[in-house]
Amino acid sequence: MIATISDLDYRRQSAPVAARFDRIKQRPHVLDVVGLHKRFDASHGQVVALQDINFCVHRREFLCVIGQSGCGKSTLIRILAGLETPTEGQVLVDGKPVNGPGRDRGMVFQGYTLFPWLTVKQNVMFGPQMAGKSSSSAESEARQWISLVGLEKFENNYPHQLSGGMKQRVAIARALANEPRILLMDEPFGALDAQTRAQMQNYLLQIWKNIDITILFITHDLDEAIYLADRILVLDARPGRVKEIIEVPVPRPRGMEQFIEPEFLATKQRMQELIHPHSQHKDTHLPILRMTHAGDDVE
Amino acid sequence: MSAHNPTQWFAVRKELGKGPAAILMAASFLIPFSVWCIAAYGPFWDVAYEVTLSAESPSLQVVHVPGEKLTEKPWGEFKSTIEADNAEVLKNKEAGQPTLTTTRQNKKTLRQITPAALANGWLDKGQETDDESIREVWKNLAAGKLDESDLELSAENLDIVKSNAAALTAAGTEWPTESLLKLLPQADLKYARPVYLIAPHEVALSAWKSLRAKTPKPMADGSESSEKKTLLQRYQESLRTIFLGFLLGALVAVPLGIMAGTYDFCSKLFEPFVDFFRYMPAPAFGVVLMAVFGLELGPKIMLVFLGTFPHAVLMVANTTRQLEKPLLEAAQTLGANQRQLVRRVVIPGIMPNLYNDLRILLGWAWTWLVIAELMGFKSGLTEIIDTRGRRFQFEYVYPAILLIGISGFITDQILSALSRVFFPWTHSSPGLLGRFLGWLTNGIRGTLTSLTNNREILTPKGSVAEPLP
Repeated sequence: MIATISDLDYRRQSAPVAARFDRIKQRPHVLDVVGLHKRFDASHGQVVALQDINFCVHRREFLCVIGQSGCGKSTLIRILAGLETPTEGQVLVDGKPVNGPGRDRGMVFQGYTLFPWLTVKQNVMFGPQMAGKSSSSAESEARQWISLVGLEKFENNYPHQLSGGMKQRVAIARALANEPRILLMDEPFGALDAQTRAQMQNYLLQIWKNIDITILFITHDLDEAIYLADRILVLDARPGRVKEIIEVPVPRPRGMEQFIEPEFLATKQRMQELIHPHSQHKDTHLPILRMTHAGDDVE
Repeated sequence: MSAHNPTQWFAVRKELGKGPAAILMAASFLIPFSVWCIAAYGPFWDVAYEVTLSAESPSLQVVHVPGEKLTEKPWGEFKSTIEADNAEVLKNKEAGQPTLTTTRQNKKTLRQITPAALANGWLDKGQETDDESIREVWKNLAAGKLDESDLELSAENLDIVKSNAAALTAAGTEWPTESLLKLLPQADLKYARPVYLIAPHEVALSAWKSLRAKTPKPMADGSESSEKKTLLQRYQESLRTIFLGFLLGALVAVPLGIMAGTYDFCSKLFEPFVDFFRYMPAPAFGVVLMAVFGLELGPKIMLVFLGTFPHAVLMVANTTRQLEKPLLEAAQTLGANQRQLVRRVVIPGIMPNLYNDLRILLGWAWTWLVIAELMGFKSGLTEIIDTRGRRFQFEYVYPAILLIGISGFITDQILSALSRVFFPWTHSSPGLLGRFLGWLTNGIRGTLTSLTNNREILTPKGSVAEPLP
């Protein structure tokens, strides 16, 4: 099916999409990554996790980073968050180099990292309180962020009483409560079931639309990346290098029905080529070994 | 468990329902208890003679004290020896050559009656060595003026009492020079259980008596009686030793442990030595502790401290290290600095586990109690266990041991239930006591709103996602 529409070039953008990219590119850079290298010492010598990574993220842009597992996506985002230091190169936020974790970069992790001893409201208040805000002003701010993610009814619940999707919504609210310049998201919906995940993607797009926030989102799910992103950074594995930065030609507002539109499929096919360059040539069929005498309802 | 699905008692790693769990919990105590009952009341033990009135004779190698249990043969020999002694005295008297003896020996013979005199209230406590009073007892008993309520004298012995009383009266105010007759030994029929096997009812009875005992008054001459303190007073002493030792251990170990678990610097600096130190058994320092802290409470507390704190430091350090690193990273990305990480993430994050560590620490403190209380002047429950045990009075030993066990067990159960009240965010569902305490605290706070919230989150997982406004 993909083969039949592959004649459509993923680089061809309709006029509104092209205009949107023009506008994005005129905005200032929130994040610049310059000549980033990361090497680890392992027992069998040095492992190059990231090699010469260069890219930028414009203000209010939604950038997805995609790649095979083990390609260094998580290392990249941890360096951006300041949780790890690069071997070489620099990360600049608003032109200023980053040095360790900071309030200007909020982060949502893949696992649930809400503080289990704090209620939903107290979790969201955590950032503002760290910045020295009084608990009353932190509380009123927290309320706003909680209502932004639609969890007002649960503000006094503890995290263990929430579902996985709700936990991640609180995590988003908690990160946003610090009013960061950029929101770093490390496969935040990876642990959720498909239905909740689709819902969460929808929520995220709405939140992004409603507030002034730039998002860098890591995923290994092609559909998720295309559905969410303005641009997709495809990361090569071993060593982790920028293979291509794709401008997604799918117009906004996005919807689930776009999953079968030609722009969407063309982008997806291109990403498949980039990430699994050999998979098309491989025999994907299982050997036929009939082990049942049951009726043929299945076929 | 539903009716058409019978309880599977043995299913790999499957939790049993509430009913079966309760049955098994009861059984876990009832089984050892019934083993004890079977051992004590089972048909394994011969009849024995428990001496109530004793006697001495030069021809006896041993002295049988009241309370001792004898089997058939030695009891027979004992009795016949005394009978033979009396027979000789009588024979000599009839032959016209009465056996002469010392006043001291006669006084000693008269004192044989003291167990009966004390039990029946003929003599007050403290009069055991007042020979003139004892002499009066004999005379009064012979005259039938005394009431035998608790310890009855046998008919033969009453005859002996009369005969001796006659001799005493004949001597007037002097002591007779002729040898008086000895009372024949008397005994209760009992089962010859081993001395350490005390039947449950006997333990219960002695525990009940010890618990109800009043503080003995100092004796008339100002000296203290041998039983200085009641069981409850000793129990208080033990509790004080335990809790002071535990408190000291916790006060030192918790900060050190948290620091070692938080800062690698402290971990590298403290832990190797503490790890080494914990292999030296705390009682080995007993003499040092007594030299430094004297013989009273000091060394006992310090022993409990030394026995618990090295393990506690390592345990708390480990607990601290087990705090999920992503929580610390999340806090850092939210702008927490190093100090805030410790105060706002590490300490609250480890609280539930730290609380459990302290519970375990308290358990250890109990295990050190007996050794600690043996140091210097013995104190607390251990004094009962040790001194009574040396006298083979195990009916006093077991209540004291049981009291330690019960206290430790109940404290732990209460603390465990309280943990669910202190840490409502931990996943465990509250137990019965926990739910009760939770209900109590909720009632005090008056937050009925939280109850309605709790009800909402009980909806199945898939259906909780709310649409965004």
